[in-house]
Amino acid sequence: MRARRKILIVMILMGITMTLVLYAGSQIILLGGFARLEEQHAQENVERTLSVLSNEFSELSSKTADYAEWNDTYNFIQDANEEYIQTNLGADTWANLRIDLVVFINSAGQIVFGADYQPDLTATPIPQSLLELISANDTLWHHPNVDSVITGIVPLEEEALLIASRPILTNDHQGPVRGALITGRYLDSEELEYFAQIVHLPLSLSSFSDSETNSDFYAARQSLSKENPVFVQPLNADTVAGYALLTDVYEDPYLVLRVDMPRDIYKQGEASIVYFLLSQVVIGIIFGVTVMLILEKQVLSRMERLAHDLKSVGKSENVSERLSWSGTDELALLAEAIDSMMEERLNTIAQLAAMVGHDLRNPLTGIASATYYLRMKLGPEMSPKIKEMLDVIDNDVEYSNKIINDLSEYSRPITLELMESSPKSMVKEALALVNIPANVQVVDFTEDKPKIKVDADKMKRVFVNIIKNSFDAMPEGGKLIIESRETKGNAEIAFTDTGVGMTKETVERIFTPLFTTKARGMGFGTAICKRIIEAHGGKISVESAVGKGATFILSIPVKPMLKGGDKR
Amino acid sequence: MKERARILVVDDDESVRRTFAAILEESGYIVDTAESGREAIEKSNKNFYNVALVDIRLLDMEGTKLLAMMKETTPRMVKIVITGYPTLQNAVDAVNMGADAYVLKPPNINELLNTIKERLQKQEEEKSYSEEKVAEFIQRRVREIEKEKPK
Repeated sequence: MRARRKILIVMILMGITMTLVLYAGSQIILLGGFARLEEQHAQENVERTLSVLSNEFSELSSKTADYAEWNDTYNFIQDANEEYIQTNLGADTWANLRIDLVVFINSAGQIVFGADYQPDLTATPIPQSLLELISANDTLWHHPNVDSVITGIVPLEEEALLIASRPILTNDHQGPVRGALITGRYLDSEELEYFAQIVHLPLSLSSFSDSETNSDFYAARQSLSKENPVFVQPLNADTVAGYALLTDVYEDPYLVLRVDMPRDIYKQGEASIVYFLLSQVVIGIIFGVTVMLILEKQVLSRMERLAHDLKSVGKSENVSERLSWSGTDELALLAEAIDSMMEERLNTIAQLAAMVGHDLRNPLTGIASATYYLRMKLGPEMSPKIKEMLDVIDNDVEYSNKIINDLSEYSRPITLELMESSPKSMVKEALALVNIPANVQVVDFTEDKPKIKVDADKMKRVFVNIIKNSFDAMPEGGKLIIESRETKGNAEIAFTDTGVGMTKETVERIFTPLFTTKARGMGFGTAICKRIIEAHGGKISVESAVGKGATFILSIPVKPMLKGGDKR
Repeated sequence: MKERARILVVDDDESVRRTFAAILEESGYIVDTAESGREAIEKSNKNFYNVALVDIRLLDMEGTKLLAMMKETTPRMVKIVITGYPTLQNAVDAVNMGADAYVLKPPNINELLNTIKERLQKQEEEKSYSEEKVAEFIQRRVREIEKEKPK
């Protein structure tokens, strides 16, 4: 897998993992914290509601005391006079005090007066269930001393009743206790609404003994007890409910009060986490993109370029070509190291080639000299066959020498010695060095302009090589036309022959070293030509088709742009 | 009859020495060979040579160094450097050390023989310019020939 993709995948996986870890962490730690905060807040609200209830009892109790500790009442409980009833026990009086029910009980437990005031200001007898409770035991009305106060919820069949019971005393809070005054207030929907307005929260009630299991109260009933009188649970995404266990006046679990609260805190927590995670994702993306960009620009694309450059150097016919990267970072150092390694390898090869060349030149000298001696000794009268054999030896010595020269030439960097010349003079000199076959016509159309600065010796070799190649391509004879012209700062010289031409494959590979179509030849000729031309900053190209001849075109800058320079 | 010119061939390669010697003798020269710089110096101290053909790389020293160490003679000995290492530096060194010609291996023998011939002619001309030197040369040659006679 490519490093780019690998890094990308690793970074994405890291991003996802980090986000998940953060998400889990925030869920557990942050959201847990917010949930605890919410629970605490809900408990406070429940307690606030309970204190409102407690205030209600105090208020009821104090109103009751106003009547219970009064001489008129103290007398009334004994004589049950009608006047007291007429004056004090009218429905409107109690309605103003928000009292729904009054019961006067004497010390013997007998009800002296009792009334249940209806909203329409009529009085009805007190409910039967209350009568039964009063007669069953003295919990509601027994006051052992003058300071005794009984408050609580009485579980009536119809409705829960908040009551306050006070001993009946004289004006100055003196006994003996002559019974009890019980006042009551029904815990109906109206009363609940009254509480709700005080605490600014919706309230609802359910019986503790209720057996239905579907509502949220079920869970609350399971959790609530006298030891744990408050319970909190979220109802849905928007509401959290706090529950309080209300015991009746007999200390038995009786009602469950529910306080509904909006989940502001929890929602704020959730919003914070979402914001936190989103910002984490955005930061992750920015970070990842930045890292990828830097990696791409500083490393990956440059590594690709290095690989590409290395390939093109590898393909180049110019052995002096190097990566030549500048910079001080690791990749530039690597490129430099590769360059110097190539340099060293090339030096080794060059030394080896020079050594082999020298070692071969000695035996060649011996062979050439021995042949020469034989020719001297045998003289003109030697047989044609012997002469032919001696010629073969001479030709092969010359050919071997050429291979050695090409080899050592190719393994050495090119050093140019520039001097002014012109296409015409170079072609002239080159033609002087070759034997033009009798059946080949050479037409020289080259001109004296432009003047160019070249290494004349090396350029001459290029020309000789191309001209000889064209002769080789015309074994049956033909025509070689040499032309020159000036184009955009270049001198262009074209060699067009009417020879056998080349296949497409040959055209493509003609300048590659060691490529040859000849039985004899190392394939260095055209490669060296290309190298020399390129060392001048010029170009060499060929156009040919089988049977259509070939045209070699040299393009040499008038002002040489030295390329693949010599370091030695 | 004109004196036959004497040539010293200095090369560490035996076949080069033998073939050069054969050709040069066949061409009418008196040829002597040396395979090392040391041997060449010894021989040039003992004998007079008109021409020295010196390989630029010998087993015991650089041919250019040998050029400088060989005895000055009158007329001045023609020094031809012959090399399998055609580098610019070698050529410059050879000329600086007093080489008269610089020939690559394997040489074109005809050209080499022509070069030797031309150089010898020049030497001959130089020789005839100074009567005194000619006399001295004759005296020396006489002594040398007398020495050689017993052989």
